[in-house]
Amino acid sequence: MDLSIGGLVRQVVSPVSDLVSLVRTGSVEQIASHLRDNPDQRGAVETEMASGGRAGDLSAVVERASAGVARAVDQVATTVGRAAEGVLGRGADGTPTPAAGTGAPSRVPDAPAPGGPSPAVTASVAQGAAPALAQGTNAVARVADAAGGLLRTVIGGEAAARPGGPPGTTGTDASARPLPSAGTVATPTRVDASAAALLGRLAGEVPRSVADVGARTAGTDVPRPAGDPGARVGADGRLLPAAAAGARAGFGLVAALAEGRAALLVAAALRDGQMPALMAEAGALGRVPELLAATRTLDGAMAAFAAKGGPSATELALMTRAGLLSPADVQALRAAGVPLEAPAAEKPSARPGEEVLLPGAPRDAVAGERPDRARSADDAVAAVAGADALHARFAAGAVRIVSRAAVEAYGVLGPPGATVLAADAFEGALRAADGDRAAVERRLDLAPGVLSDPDTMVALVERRDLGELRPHENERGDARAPDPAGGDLPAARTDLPPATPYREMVLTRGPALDRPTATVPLPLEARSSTLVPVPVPR
Amino acid sequence: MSLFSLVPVSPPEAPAPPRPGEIARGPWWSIRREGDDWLLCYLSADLHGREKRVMLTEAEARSVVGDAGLARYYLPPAG
Repeated sequence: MDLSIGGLVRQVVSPVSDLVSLVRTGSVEQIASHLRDNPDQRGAVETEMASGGRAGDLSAVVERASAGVARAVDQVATTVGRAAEGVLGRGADGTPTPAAGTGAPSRVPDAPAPGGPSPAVTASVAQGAAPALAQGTNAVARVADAAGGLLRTVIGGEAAARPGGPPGTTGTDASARPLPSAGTVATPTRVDASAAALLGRLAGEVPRSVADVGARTAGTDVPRPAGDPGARVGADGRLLPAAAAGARAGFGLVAALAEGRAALLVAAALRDGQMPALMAEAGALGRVPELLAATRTLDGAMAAFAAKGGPSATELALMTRAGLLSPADVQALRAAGVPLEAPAAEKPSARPGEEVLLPGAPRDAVAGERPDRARSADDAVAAVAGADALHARFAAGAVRIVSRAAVEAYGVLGPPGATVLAADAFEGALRAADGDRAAVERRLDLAPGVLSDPDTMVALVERRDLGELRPHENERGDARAPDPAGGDLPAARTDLPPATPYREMVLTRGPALDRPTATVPLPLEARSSTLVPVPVPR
Repeated sequence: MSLFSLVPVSPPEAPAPPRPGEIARGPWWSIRREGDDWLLCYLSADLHGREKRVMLTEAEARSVVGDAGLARYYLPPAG
């Protein structure tokens, strides 16, 4: 069974040249079927139809492509869940999962998606090395593609951006009929035109930022033509196949999950038809639970949008919790009189003092607890100068600040993609603050008191014990990243598997040092000799 | 005077025993039952490195663990 990203990509990719040929010579129904399977190619389809003298057929194509999308959306969670079981083959406890339909209740019959797969996809699947997997994942791709199109369509991103756009692209499209799974909404509340326009703008921005997460993690920023956030172009200026672009998003899974942006990554994968690659990635990393949770969150929101032609208070609350709305957007919506709190019956039953977050909820970003940091383009470029430069900044090792209780409970310093700081820079910050933990906390954007909390452990991992270091999003100037990344100190993401050797840095506030206080980050040659290697028990 | 000292730490030889209400555990996450709540707990990747908790519905928990897993691992509180 070929579970590699490349293998999955090959099964779902549709070459651009085929698209041009289809649009120029195919029937309206054929083009609509292709658009249902590949909603991310809508811009290319429109361009090709216009340049090929078929602009008059565009409305009919869009209408037919939109028909039945709602039913496809309703299949997303169920189909993705089954695909996950197929990919994993085992439950979280290590035992084989029960047969599909017994472990995860199915909401709808497993009917084929409207229109069926395109001939190209069918042929690709038939010739695949893993027909069973290909069939399942391709089904996910089709419904996910359709769902991605609906996300854009219902929220109204394209319609809001281009008033007077083709029919079938508005949030009140009659084809977006009610769904049986939309019963999670108790009090529908239509938003006014200004709020809808705002959501439309967000719809265009969210997937773009999510794709960036993947691109950054893969170290391959993908340029996009101006005015077309959904398209990607390669070095030769040609549109990249959606699957290839989406695979990069899949590579960003760890980072997206780590920073609480799983829902956003799912949005990008839905749009790009990359749920198979994303699920395979999640399966390999053992992170299917979070991904499924994020998928369900999006599915519920999309289904409810389709049912009412506009987001309700619940959907807006979901979007808020999922980080789809920035603090400024939240303020704008509230100013417009749009309630953002879920009905009381749907609120999580958090007890006082408990930290309860919905999947993918970057509380800091929503509540605006941490001010955005603007970084210059030069800083961003310097931060990603390359893996060698990144590793050089961690030559003295890495510092991981972590809950002692959590380490004892799980036996690891962090999940895959954990945030770490350059050890010498952290030491430099300590010296610059003369050991004042509160000053260090402020500099690192940590909550007050964290470094004085007995539960907090500062772990030092030697360079030789560090795995691959990946750029931290905040190092790239991502002002919306929900988690602190060490202020202006060099940060990175890395994997810290069990049995990673480390030493605890026990902080002791002392008098001012007899040597000049260094600025951070310290040059490597000026690094303190405090970090003398100590034999680490293996 | 140093601002900190380094203390070698021996990685645990065996995983910690299940916590009360813990139904399933991965390398950095667990599913727990607390009262009527199903919780997905996980070690966060951010710089705080705390354990975060996410509310799950029972259906979501079952989709992760499976009916057999829940029946096997979930022991109702005594009394």
